[in-house]
Amino acid sequence: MGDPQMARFLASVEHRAFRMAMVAVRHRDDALDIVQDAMLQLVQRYSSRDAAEWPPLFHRILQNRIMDCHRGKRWSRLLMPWREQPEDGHPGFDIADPQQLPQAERLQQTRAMQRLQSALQQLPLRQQQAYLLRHWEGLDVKQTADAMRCSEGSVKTHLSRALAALKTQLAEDWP
Amino acid sequence: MTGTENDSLIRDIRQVLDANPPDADTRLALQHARAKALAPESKRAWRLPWLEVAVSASLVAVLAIALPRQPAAVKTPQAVAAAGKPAPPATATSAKPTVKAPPASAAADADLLENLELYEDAEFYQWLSEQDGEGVQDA
Repeated sequence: MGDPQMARFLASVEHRAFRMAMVAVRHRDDALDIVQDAMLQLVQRYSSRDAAEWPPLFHRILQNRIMDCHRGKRWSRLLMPWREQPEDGHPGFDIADPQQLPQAERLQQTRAMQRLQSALQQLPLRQQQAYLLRHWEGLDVKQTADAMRCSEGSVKTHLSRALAALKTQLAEDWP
Repeated sequence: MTGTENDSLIRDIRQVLDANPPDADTRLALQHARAKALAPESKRAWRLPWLEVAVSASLVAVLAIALPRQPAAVKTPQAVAAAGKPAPPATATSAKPTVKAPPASAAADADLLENLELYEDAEFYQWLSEQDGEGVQDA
């Protein structure tokens, strides 16, 4: 099945990619479509590139698809306000190894995740992207700027604002 | 907000995100998506549009070369007259009572039309050679 190195790369990024798309579009099926499309585009267009180039390329495609989805929804809201697509309410996450965690801890993790997801969703899209790419996916500032198609200075500004907002929204009793 | 506080918050957020992977259905859907992306058909799908474009461009090029030659083979007196040359005398056709214009019902009969055009062409060339002969005499 395809290039094993590419398969390993996609397997390593797909969960985080889905989470990023889920936070951004708040709809499980849309998020899955976005990730699948990003995978397809990467394999079809860039599989011949050096493997070191894949992470920023993949995330650039992913962020473009997220932006496309946002644009599509905005136009849909403008042109057909009566057909607004509701959020599907799907949390899109599981507690890892639920058998191994005590009930209280599982509950606490679920609450922490729900609050974090809510806080991330309240961030403007560019701040979400900058934060998750830089501090979760582990891209450096330049790679983040490439993926977001903006300057490194903009990335730093988005990061600073995102951190301040998250700090405010996630009070001291979090996680 | 200090750098240490930031680092702590970033670390906590990362831990919570990593501790909560997608649910089982989503993981399965992602596996299918990955398999689909890596399937050989998906790579071919990227090449096919270029193949289609190449084939279409070749067809258009062949048609563009072949089509303009067809009208040039059929030159009617009317077309020549429209191009600025004198039309053949009207008596040339009226003197031949056996030739009739095809009836409207037979307009689709390509053979009949072709014969008529050939006949008109023959008349035209005959008239043209007569004109040339007069021209030579004039010279």
